[in-house]
Amino acid sequence: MEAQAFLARVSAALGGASAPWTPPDTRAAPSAPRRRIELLHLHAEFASHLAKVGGTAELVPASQAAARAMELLGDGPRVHVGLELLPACVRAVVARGAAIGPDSDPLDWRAACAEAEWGVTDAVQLVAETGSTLSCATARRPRAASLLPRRHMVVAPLSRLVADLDEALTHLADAPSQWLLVTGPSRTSDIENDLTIGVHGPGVMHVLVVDEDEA
Amino acid sequence: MSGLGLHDAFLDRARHALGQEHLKQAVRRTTDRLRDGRAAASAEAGAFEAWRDALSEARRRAIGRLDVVLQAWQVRAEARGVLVHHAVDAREACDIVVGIARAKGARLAAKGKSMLSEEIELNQALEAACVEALETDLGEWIIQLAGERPSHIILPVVHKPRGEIRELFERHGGEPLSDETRVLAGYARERLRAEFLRAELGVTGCNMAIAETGSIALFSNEGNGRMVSTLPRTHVALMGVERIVETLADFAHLVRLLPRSATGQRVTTYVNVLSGPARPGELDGPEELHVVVVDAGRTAQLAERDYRDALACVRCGACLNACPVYSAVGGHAYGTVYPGPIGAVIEPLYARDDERRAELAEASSLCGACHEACPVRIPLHDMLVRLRQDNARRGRGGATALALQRIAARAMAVPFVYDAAGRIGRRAARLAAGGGQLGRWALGSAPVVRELLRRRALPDVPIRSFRELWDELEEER
Amino acid sequence: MRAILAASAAARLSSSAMAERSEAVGARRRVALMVTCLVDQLAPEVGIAVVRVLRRQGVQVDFPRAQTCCGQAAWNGGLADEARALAERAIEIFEPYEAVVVPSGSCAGMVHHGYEEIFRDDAAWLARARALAAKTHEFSQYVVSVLGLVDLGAARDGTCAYHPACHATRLLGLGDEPRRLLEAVRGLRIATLARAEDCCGFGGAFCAKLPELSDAIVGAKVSHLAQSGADTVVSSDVGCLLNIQGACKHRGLPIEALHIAQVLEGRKGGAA
Repeated sequence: MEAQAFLARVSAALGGASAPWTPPDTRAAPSAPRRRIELLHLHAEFASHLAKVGGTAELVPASQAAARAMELLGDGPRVHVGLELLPACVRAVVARGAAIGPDSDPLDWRAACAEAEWGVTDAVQLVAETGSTLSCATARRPRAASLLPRRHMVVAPLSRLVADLDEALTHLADAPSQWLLVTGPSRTSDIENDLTIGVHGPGVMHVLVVDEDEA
Repeated sequence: MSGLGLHDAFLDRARHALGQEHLKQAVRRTTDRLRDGRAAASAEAGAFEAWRDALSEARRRAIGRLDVVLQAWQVRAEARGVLVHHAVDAREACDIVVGIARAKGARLAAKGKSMLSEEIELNQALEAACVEALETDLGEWIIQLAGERPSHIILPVVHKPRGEIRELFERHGGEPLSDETRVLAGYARERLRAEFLRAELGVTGCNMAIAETGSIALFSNEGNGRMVSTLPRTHVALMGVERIVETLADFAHLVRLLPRSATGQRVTTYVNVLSGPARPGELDGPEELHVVVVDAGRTAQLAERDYRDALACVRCGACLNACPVYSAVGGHAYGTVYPGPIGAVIEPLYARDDERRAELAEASSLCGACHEACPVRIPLHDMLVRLRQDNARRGRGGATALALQRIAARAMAVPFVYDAAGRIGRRAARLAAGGGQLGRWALGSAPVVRELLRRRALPDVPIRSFRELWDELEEER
Repeated sequence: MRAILAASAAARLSSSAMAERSEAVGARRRVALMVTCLVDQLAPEVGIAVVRVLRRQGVQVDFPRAQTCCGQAAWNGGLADEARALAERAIEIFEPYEAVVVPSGSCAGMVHHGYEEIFRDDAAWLARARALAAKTHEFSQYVVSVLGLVDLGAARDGTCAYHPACHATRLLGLGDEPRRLLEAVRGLRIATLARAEDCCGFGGAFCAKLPELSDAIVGAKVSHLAQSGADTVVSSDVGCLLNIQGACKHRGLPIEALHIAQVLEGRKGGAA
């Protein structure tokens, strides 16, 4: 059915056309940058909620971030997105060897994601209330890096922590093609109510929170 | 046969369910677990009631002006490249999806979990058009392999023991497996991965649309919803016309309440919000995103003050878990796509002339636990009473039974008739209790009483009623 | 559950003794008893217990003889017109009184919630219904919230489990009034009842129309009761109590079902 006719039926059922809709004002009030102590507090909350669902988070000083990433990633194939804002040494570690990034050809990209042991991504925000990472799909940040590999690592600076969903969502009024809240590894209880971790999405989720103030 | 006519089909299926020990235990274990989860999640979150108020208001507000909200959503969705279709009924919805599949030359449609697609029987339509429709949600895939229907809105396969699942997978893959959950889930991961990468078409439902940004949101835990909305070139999302909120702020309340109400999780593993297909320069994501807005009996509810609020449903399943009837017999006993309290209300509304669905209004003790559990406070228990009124007005339930009930109700209004009936009834009961033939016959002749007496000891029936004793009680003073 | 009216000499004696003490509390209060058809016909001892307990507190109790039924069964059965007729009748009979006490959460709930639904399109009747609802109290609500009493000097040896009746809690909003009253009963232990808030499967006509289903539901309630270790189950609603009692007896479980008023009526040694 044509849109107008369809909507006319809805109006009729409502007893007449409704008054025109006015969009809400969802611009986020620009918030002052949080103090470090607040961010540390939020990180603790974030890590605690993430741990409850089988994910892990750790806070590392910027100087140690590269070494830690290297330790976690090992030598296996990996894909990465969105690391340009991170310290160069971290980028270098992640991008070394067999890594494939968002400049690749789409088919190569997909194949690489499917074979990768790790997908490394950044996050627009880390949401303390739920232990979630928020990511947005863009040309520089394709989607499959956090979906196809067996393990998913998020690398993001401490300053990206926000308190709650309300705060996180107000930044999304200019919606990207996809935004995604990820909270831990994939899971299911479909079989006899028995929880198992790692179904179709990654079975491991680790968040490396980089503390840029601690050299 | 209960003797009261209206609900025999339900009764038969319920009886069947009650005779299956494993099913009964599985259903009860599941509903207990989910109820406890919800209770823990709502206790932990101090603002739970405030969120319920907020989400209830948000849903009713959107539904109250659904025409302009839908229009606003469509304008914004189309501006971001979404191809929007409208389907009045199930048939049209299936035609649209099949049409898209054909246009894209799709041979395999990988499906995320969608109750709406069950409702419109999309898989059958796709198969008829030679498009393989593959369920990828673990529970739904198991159901599909077994040729069954889901028994719960959130956990479709609670009724199936793991041994049966293992056998299904072994027959499917030709290789032996163990009963361990990890192994079974691992098998699903491996087999379905190839399909995700192969499918030309991804089909999902839509948990909620967001008008402000022209988006659709998908909540999932397994990751299959993300797979089918990311990898295939074409993504089709089925959206019930009423599944919409106006703003991102409204949506935040849903994110807080839907997972908690459904399973007790703080949040589902993935909340995936799509606003259009992949944009120029993006390496992955679908080239086309189609949203099919489906009416299928929902718009009519807008016009009914008694039932409009049922459109606020967010399909969390909390009412199922809270319901003593559902917990006793499970979803299949209802014989409908949507079971439990919400099913007992909306199924008759989606098909007003279907007697089989109309009888579901009787499948309730009206305890009100559903209303108490509902995140958007739908008064399901009151709606069931209204549905019973509809049934009575239409003469459903057997003319004789209804007539008798009416007579009894009217008799209640006349004191001496009420009194006399009480005396006679008590006398018969006392005769029956005393082993008297006449009394037994009198009681047993009413089939309903006979069935009840099979399962309950008779109470000690008093000789005199309270009103007969009142004068003595007054003298006590 | 049965108490013979004749054997209550002791009760009468203590009645008059109590009357002096309660001058301050219930005196000058007057209520009409909406006895409910279930109590009237199948459990008059509950009505008697309510009257005695209230009189001990000095409350004067009237019994409008013309009353029959609040209309709940008809309403729940889908018979809207018949339910309305009964509701109008009930309103007319009870509205002259300053307060109405009901030994049933579901019937009180009908007056509060059900009448809102019945009269929603009739402003005049709705106003009268609301006026009646404002002064209609379930028995334990009346004792705790209106009389302001929790300890009535009752005594009973044993262990009881409290079953919160569905309509009482969900339609009427009955809270912990019954529990608080039970806690003040000397010698009475209150056991923990698992999933206490679960329906008992009575549902009025439901248990007769869908007996196997009702049976499965009451079966769960009975097994929770057995686990609780209680020798008595107490509730605000006779429908629930009859249903549970019948199920317990049928399964050979020696648990007695009592209305809260019957527990409160009890004096030393638990004689009721």
